[in-house]
Amino acid sequence: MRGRLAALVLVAGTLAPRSSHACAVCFSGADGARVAFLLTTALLTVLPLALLGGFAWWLRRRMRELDSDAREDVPVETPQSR
Amino acid sequence: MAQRDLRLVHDAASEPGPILPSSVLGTLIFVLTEIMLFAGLISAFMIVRGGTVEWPPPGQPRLPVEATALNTAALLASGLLIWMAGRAYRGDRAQAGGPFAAGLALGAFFVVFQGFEWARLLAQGLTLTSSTHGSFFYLIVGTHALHAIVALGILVWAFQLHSRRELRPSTFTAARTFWYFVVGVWPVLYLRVYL
Amino acid sequence: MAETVHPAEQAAHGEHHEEGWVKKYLFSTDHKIIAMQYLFTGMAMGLIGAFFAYVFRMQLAFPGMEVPFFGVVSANEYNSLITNHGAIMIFWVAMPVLIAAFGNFLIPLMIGADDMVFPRINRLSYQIFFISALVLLASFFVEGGGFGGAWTAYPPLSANAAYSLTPMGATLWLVAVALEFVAFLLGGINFVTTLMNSRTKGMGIYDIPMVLWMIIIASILFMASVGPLIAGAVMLFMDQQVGTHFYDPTRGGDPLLWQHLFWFFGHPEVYVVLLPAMGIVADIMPVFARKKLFAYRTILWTAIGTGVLSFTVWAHHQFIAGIDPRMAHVFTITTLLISIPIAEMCFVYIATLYGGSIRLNTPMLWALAFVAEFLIGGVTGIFLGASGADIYFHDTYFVLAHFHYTFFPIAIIGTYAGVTFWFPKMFGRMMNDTLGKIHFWGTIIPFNLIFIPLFVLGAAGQHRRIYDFTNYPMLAEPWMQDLRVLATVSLVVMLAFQLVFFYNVIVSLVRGEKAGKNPWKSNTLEWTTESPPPHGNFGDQYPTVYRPPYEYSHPDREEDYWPQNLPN
Repeated sequence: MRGRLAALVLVAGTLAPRSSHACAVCFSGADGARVAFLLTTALLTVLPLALLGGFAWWLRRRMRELDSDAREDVPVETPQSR
Repeated sequence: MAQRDLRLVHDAASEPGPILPSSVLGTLIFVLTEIMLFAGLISAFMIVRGGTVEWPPPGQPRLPVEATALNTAALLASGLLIWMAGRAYRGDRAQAGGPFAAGLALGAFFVVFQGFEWARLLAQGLTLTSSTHGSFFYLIVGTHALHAIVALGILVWAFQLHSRRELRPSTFTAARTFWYFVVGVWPVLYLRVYL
Repeated sequence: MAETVHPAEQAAHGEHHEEGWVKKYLFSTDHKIIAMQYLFTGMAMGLIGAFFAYVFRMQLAFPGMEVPFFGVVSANEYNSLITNHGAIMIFWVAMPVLIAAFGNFLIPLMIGADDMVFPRINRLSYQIFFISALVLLASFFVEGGGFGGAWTAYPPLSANAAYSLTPMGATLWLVAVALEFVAFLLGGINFVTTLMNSRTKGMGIYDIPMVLWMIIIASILFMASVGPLIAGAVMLFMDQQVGTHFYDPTRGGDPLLWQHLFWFFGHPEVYVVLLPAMGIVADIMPVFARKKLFAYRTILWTAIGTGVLSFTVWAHHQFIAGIDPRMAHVFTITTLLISIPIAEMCFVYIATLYGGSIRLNTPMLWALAFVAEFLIGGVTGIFLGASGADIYFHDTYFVLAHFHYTFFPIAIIGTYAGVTFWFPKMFGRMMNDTLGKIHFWGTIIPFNLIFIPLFVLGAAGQHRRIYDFTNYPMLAEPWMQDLRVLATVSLVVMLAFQLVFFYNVIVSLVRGEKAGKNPWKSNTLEWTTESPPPHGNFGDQYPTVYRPPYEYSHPDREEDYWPQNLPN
């Protein structure tokens, strides 16, 4: 628990300080572009994972359905067919 | 004992064959790439727009928000009709023709209407090179229009097969899947680019 | 029963009549022929890429000299050479050989299918790829020469002909890359669909050989990450040719935007090529250690975890591009995290070797070298993943040596491992093992002698993409120049040893010992059919799978291997 709290504080600490903006190579342009970079980074990172994860979840659910259907309909054990 | 694996190949002896027909699975994978393509375009648009003080840039015409809202409704209705056609197709195939044709007509209406809007915007001075506003507008909406035209072509081909009673359910599902993508991505583009 | 499985393909494969040479080898829909087309095109492009490396390394070691077979290298030519060396090696060598060639050859054979699900799309994929290679080669001969803005093509240099001085070369390069992406998109759709829907009777999800999993995961990563780059490439093309200003900061555009879109693809791309090589090694090691692959499911889930993480690390390429420092923190953490699954895979491979009866045939030597050399690449990546250290190392030869220590094991060692292992299946004859070992040591030793000096030079501050270091007194110390000469000489030696490989291939094709069905005593399904496999792969009878692919030295069995298709 304490370890988790410490990790949380550490992460929050790395995210919080605005003073790090003093760095020389960081662009000073419009604030909107900076926010947009952050937002689209999150979007691009999460979107493919969400799509693929959603598909995998749907597939798993569908498999379960078909499995239980198959057990009700066809009690005999059958070799898998393609 | 049926394996509890995550297998795309369904094991029930009553209906052998994959859960998703190959054509549908292939289309879904392609749609994944397409969604990421539009995500890239939207990201680029948001970043460039975020870097400006005033949007649209001064001297550039405003986009036709209301007229396009109407057109958006037409496209969504088309998606709904194609969905109904797909549902009807599973039952009585003859019933599918009506909503199918109506959905096609509305889809074609969307593309033609967009064409007229473009002509008007070009006349008002919004061109591909007039500003980043114009560049992004024609790039994003044009990419979508290109997809809409291709998807309509596929649906027309499916409709011809349907009227000759040669349309396989999996082909129809694949064609519809692509159209749903074209319909589904448009509201996102409308909200981001027009508003 | 088996005949009803692929209704869509019956038209394509129904009749097995003899076809003309052109139809059979140039316009074939047979996955094995397409695999060979990808393999040979990829290797030919590899020779071009290697020649480019030779030319610019000579220029760096002996500035201003007349390079044999090329002549004096001008600054513009130098830029074009390094740009296209990088692009060719990644897009026209690593991807076609590791994913397309091995994927096409192995997927249907290893899952017991007669062909891909969409054979015509498969053929189209290669044709588009071939055109993309031709477009790239054409770009060297247009006015201004080939594109010279580095393989990452950062604007505004790449977007404006006035800066890059290659008005046509830049555009042709971009078109070639875009075509190549389309080709791999079509191929990837085929791979995933085939693996999912065409597996033979009895092949459950954990009976699939690891190399196929890796190729499939790589294909999915590619398809999920390439979209934004295609968007970015269209915008770059329009900036070059139409006159838009997407990347022009003076006209409302943003040059950083390209890096954003490029690296979103660019980093998953590293894993796109890494995973198939990892898979090839995973399939070779159990065969030559005569031992079950250690922790099959762990490797599978680790690879999936790598795929998930690979979408979250890409901004580490932009640490000094001016991204938000808080974002740099997050990406430092994720970048360091991704070394965990990769290290885990390496440990699992070593655990596979532990206690095995190891045979050091040529494919095994390559597989072992892959793990050893890739570890060096992986460990040096830790320095670059930390945003603080990266500010110093960025764009030095340290970075260059690091990614060559990853890409060379992937693209070259992985390819040689796979080719020497599956050569008997591809062509029906064994390769000469002695020549193979000479080639192996003649490649591995010079490889290390090329890039270890470059680590040292990079740590000393030697910057990338500099045409002539004698213009910079602090970079032209005698000891630095000596290291450059050492690297270049090692490169020439390494290239010379590749002749042994080509000699070996040609001699083995003509006079090699007949391989038979299963020369390595391996378990997977491709070894149950003839070598080379006939059209349709398995004749009339599809194999049935009864067990996982790596049952070596099973206690219940007299022989030390247990093919997947044997009932008992």
